[in-house]
Amino acid sequence: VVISGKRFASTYAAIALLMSWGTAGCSTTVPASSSNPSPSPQPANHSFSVCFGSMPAEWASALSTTTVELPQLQWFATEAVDDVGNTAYGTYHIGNKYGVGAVSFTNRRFRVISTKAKTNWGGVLWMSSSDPWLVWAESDPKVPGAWTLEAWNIKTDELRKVSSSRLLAGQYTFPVVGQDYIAWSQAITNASAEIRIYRFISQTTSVLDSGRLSPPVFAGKYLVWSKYVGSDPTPTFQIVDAKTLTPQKLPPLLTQPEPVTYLAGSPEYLLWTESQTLMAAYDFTAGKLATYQISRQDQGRNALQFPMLAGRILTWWSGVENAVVDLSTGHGFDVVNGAAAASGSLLVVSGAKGTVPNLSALRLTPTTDITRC
Amino acid sequence: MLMSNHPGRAWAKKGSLAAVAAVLVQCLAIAGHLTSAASANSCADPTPYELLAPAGTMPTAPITPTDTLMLSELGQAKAAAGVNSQAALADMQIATAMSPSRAEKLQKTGSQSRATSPSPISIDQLCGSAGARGSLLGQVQGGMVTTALATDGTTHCVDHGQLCGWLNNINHQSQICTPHCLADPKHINYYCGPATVAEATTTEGVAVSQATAASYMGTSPPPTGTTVSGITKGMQNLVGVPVMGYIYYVWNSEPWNPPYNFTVFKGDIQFDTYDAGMPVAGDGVEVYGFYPNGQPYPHLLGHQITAADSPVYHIFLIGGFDWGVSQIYYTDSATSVWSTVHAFNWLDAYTTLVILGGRGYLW
Repeated sequence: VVISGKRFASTYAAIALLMSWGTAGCSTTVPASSSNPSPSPQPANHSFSVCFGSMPAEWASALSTTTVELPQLQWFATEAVDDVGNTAYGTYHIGNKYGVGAVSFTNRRFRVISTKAKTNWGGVLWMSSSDPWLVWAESDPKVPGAWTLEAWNIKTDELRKVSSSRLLAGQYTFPVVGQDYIAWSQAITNASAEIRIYRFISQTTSVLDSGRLSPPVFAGKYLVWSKYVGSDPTPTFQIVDAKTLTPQKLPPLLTQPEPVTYLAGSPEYLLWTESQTLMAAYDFTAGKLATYQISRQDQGRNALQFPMLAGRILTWWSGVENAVVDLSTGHGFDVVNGAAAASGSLLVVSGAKGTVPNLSALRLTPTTDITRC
Repeated sequence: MLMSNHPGRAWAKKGSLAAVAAVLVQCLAIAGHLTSAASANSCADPTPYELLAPAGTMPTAPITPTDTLMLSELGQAKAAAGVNSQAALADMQIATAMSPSRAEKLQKTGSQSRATSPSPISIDQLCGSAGARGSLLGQVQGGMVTTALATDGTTHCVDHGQLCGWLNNINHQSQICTPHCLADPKHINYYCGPATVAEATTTEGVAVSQATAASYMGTSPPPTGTTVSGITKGMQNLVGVPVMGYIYYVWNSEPWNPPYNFTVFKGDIQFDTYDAGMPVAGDGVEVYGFYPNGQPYPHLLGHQITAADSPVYHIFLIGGFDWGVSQIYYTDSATSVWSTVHAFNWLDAYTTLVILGGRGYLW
């Protein structure tokens, strides 16, 4: 598969994952990484106190010019963003029907990808896109905890069922789609999982790593996940080249075990949450590590969970609000009466105006930043 | 991150047990694991403070329920999920009938506990920097209220000019998956009710196991789980009576549709966890779906609610509050259900109440 520079960026689109190991036992599997943890913690280069203000006026103005209204739908929940195709992918609800759909900001049209009756709909757990593939994990409505991994070719409409799970402690999976493969974690016991790779061309699945590990994310030029090594009480990052899947040496600032709950990645950053109010991000370009602290007055409404990363722009849903934060400044805002998702260079905001379901898109550039709260 | 269980209180009185009936309610499903951690600090129980982010410079205004349209839609979604079924309503009526009146509880409990509360001090002074630990020892001891009803520690504090407080060393347990749960092809983990009672009893020094609590409350596999009347029976007779010597817990139904009574909710949480030194059992309803604006319906932190799971009835233990930032402190037994759930959490207070809509809480 030939991938242009821009498409490559899309391949590394924002993805957020969680740790998914079980409760017992530790794997003795050798880490994919060839590097060893350093003996002492590496201090962060910078510490941000995250603040929340209002959406920058120029952002609001730009978003208002791209709004696509969806009056035929009861809701559309953006699950993945394709900045190359200028499209938002997600789930929709209309009457007794649910399914996966797409909203194009180019032709301003909604497209149905799949439709299911309410009784056959379990919901989408996680979704990822990289032209020409859209990948999602769909919950099985008949078996709580079970899921199937589906891949849909945007250009040919081909639908593939890649994998499934019915394991009790298998946890939900959070697939990411790369250049010519899908990467995800699949539980094999109640206490361990495998990093699996499905290649579109050969239609084969291989195992990259196993043990008590998290789902992987694309970050920088790498595929990264976190893993409990030996009897370590804290997981350590594992890293392979995203193209060749060969183990790479971790940057020095990432060699120390970190208390990771969620992972997210972009071409510039690897981000992880350490608690509901503290996260850290490693800037691959600058080789710097920064920490981000949510303050007490924002904690209850901005708890860190389910992060999505587009370049340096972070979005997450706290269970109460959708938040957007610029990692370069630590400044952000809550999406008032709406939601946000982002990937590559595209930020999608839903419901920013009116009561009819609607989506708006903002093209992120190197100068698109949030400079004040 | 790992969290150890705390020993709880050892002074409680023993009481007799009663018996009641049961009907609906189930808990959760799925899988996972990851718990949160805390290390020792200056307070009797530093965990809530450690999980509470650093104070900012600006006080937070109380969160007001302004968007009635969204709240109404959520209520309709809960109704469509069957939250107000005849069986559910009958179950809650039983729980109400089992409960003393609000006035009776306040009269019986209120005067003695409030009369002994000294003036609380700043939360940051109380539990803040390690450097202040020694110099503030006297203040800490003064601020650590020793009420007649919670002799082993209820933290009383002030944050942004508003009261805050929590039960010290609230216990957390991951809800267990029973042999039946393990054998069930649907893998329903329905022990949130027993886990909550086990947490409450352990916190209060009258520990019973999840299995004992489940047996006593009549907890059964889905779709029943632990009924509202069942959890009422458990909290009253396994927690309230042994600790207080009388039927302490009152079931408060929260409407499935707004308006929700935020003022009463705050007062009840504060009365129990601040004045009386007793935990509150929340019984929430979480449904799958999104508002027209694309925002998901509210959930407890880390909960991943799919259409397959919905509605999820989840019982959890509330142990404190911080009105200065309008947040509720709770422990969640669903750490054995979703890997994204932390043992101890702070969540926006009004959102917590909205989640309780359609069921309610035992205070």
